[in-house]
Amino acid sequence: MGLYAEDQEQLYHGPIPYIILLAGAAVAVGAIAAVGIVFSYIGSLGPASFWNNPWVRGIIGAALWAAVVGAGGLYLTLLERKFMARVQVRYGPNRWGPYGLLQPVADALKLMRKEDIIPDAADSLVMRLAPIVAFAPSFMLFAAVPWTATYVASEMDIGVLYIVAVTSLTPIGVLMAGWGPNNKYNLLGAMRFAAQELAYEVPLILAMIGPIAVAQSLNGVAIVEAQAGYWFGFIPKWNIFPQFFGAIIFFVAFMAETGRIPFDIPDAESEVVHGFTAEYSGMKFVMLLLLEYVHLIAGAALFVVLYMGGYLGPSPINQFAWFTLKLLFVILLMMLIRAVWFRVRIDQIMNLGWKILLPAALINVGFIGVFLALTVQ
Amino acid sequence: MSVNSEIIQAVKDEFGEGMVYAVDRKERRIVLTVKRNILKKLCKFLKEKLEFDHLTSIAAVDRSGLVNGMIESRLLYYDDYEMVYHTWSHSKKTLVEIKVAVPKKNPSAPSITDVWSTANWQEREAFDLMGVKFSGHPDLRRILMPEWWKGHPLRKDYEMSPGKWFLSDEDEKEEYVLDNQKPVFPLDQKLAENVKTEQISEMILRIGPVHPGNHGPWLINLKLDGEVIVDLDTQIGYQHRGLEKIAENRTWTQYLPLSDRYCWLTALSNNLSYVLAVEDILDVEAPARAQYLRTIMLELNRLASHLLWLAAMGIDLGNLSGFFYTFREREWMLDLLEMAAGNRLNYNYGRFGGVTFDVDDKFVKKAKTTMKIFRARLQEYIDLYDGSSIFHARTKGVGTITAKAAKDLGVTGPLLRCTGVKADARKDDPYAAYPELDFKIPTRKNGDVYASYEVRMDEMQISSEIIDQALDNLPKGPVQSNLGRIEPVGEAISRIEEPRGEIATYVIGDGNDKPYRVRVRCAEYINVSALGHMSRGYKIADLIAIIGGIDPCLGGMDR
Repeated sequence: MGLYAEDQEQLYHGPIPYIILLAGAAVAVGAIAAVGIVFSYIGSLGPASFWNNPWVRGIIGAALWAAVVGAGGLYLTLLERKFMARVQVRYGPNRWGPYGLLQPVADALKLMRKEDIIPDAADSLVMRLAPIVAFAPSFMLFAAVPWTATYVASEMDIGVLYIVAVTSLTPIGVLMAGWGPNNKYNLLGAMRFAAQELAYEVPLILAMIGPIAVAQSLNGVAIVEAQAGYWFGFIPKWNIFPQFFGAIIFFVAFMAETGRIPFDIPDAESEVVHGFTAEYSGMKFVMLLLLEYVHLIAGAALFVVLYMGGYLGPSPINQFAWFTLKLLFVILLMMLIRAVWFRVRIDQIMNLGWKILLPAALINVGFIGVFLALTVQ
Repeated sequence: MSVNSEIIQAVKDEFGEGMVYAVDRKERRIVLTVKRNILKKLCKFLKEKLEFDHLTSIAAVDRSGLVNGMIESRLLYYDDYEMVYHTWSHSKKTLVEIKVAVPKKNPSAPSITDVWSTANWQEREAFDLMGVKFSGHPDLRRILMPEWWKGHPLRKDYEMSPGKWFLSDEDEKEEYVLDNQKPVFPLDQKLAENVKTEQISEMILRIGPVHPGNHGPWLINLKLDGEVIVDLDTQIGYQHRGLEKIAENRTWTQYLPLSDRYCWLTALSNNLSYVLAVEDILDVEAPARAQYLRTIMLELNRLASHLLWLAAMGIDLGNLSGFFYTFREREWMLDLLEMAAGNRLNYNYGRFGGVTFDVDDKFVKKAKTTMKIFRARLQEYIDLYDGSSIFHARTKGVGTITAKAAKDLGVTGPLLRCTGVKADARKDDPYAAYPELDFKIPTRKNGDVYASYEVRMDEMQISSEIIDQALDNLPKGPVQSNLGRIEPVGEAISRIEEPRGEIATYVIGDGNDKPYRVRVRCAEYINVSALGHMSRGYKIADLIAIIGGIDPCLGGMDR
């Protein structure tokens, strides 16, 4: 063991692990891109083609999305573990595959083999349905996220509104997960989750109004396109610069929605023993656990679309890669926050949501309204 | 007139000649042997008039097997059982020992819980292990042994053969049940009443026996109104190993390694506490070098323990990184302890009249370097913890306890010092090489979790400075004295400031090769008994922070 500071240096093994990790993440996201290309090819076939039958397209698309986002979520756990390990002066998983790259696969295989326990006193049907009800909406919202200018899984004019609507379905599933297993820790965790989602849904939506008002549209692609161009030739016209206030409100609110440190009170393991997942095992547990990571991707994607110019960027790198890089940046920022911050208490989180963020979001909407009224006309 | 004779005079003036007075050899403690009927009056007098505000320990002793070692004065009030109370005055800095004889047939004594609240758990323990019933105790039930246990293990006539431990249907249960006996979980009973009267807004949540927020196996029954704690009841004893009973069946030296094992975090303090008590009976002093080595090792142990507390505190409050940083430095402390004692966890370092091994120059050099780096690292922790506004919000004003309540509840260590009481056995009741070293006792005023955090952080800084000082002044010479066969006669109590508070070991020897009775008062046991007082009205998340602030160690609680 190292006693002196110079010994500690030996823990650092150069940039290779990071490069491989980023490459791995890029491969995962590249798979998403491949799906996108397939979809655009199918789109070019014409409406009469067999592949463009809404049923066929829907079923194949859903299966692909489930596979890709599921794998992405799994690899996000590895990324997080590696990243946190580096923050915490240790290695992280490094036994399965080169630099531990097969760790999520090993985890998934192990969890699939786990016994699926349903307690005798549980409400069996509710307990079985809960992970599905909680998990499905968080997948559905990816349909409206624009990865590139031409590729949106389902291009709709009310894209952002659809995302918000679908997100607010998740607490139903979580409440079912709290009630079904007949466990007090589950119940406490679910109640905390519901209270938290309710408190932060409102400022989240109010903060969205800024970019929507600027773009005059609810469509994701239109919101991104409204951010094109530069001020003074080098500052990109992203919403984050003029609407910094709103961006912070949105960031805090979606961090709370995701339920991660410092806002991870629904699954605070030292208080309520991982909350609403306490009684679950096997794949049901994985689904509830991945909820957090899928929410993380979704929230970060939404933040990038609304405030960071989405897929826009200088041309040598293509649009999709820009989007991925921005997404990774936001996700790593949240991981860094998770690594070094403490957890807040339930009353503090409620105070922050209702008494600070909500009025701030309202004021923000007012300012943007006045600003637009003065400039746009 | 010394403090001791003043106290004796005051007691004499109040109670006349109805008791036997004695002062021990070193003038460290006054021994009062009294009759049962004036016990409570005496305790009240000591507390209110003479400022004996801290009840250190209550020991129940079965004297029926005792052949030698009986002090003559006790012949006046001799009976088979005896209750021994030790009370300490924070202002007068002296110890009073009260001995009360209790008959073997239907043993009972007046409860002193309304004089010192801390007597609650200690009397429960005496009832549990020795079967002494306390009249007027609010909640007398077993604490360390399970409810279905048969008999009281510390009695000398306790049958230690397998298969006789469980209450069967034929057994007369009245012997173990008092008139005012409560059910196993009193809270459940209350809840059942609530359900009957349709007041079901409250729910019971059991935290434990296995729970990430508990630092070991113990059970907290919480009564919650939403997230707010209405009432709580603690159940411990999951790790009870009966070490006090085992001590009576081992020789004096065989018990040395076992005394490490009350609590793995404070092994050295536990060990030296036993060693000091035996040395007190034997009337021997360790050589100067051994005294300094004890000091150094005690402080290293304190650093290792405090670093683990800081790590656990971070995890409890949701900070995952602090754990790994503090464990890095804890590893260095363990390396040093290993270098000197040969072990990393249970050191078995103390010997009667010395320590096991000497250290060399390499240790001194390494320890100095470590302390230098450690002090720099300590600043980083302060940046990580103190620099976070969420940490402030989570700990300030949480688990507040006043100085008066803390003294009444017998709380010791950083938890007492964070209320503003300057009480530290290292200064007040010195042992090892502490009287020759120059150091401060950090205190704070607020008495909340944050104040105890600040006290502990200051203590780490001071500990590392003590180690530096002791290393500089390390005298030359032997580290052991040859005592020959160890068969002490007499009794003694030692007090040591362990990282969590005061550990007191009360030892009786009757000239045999085995201890007649070893009674340990661990700081964790008493500190945790104050949990209910500290956490009522706070939320579940606060309870976790408060437990982190108490820094419980289950081994020390259950022994």
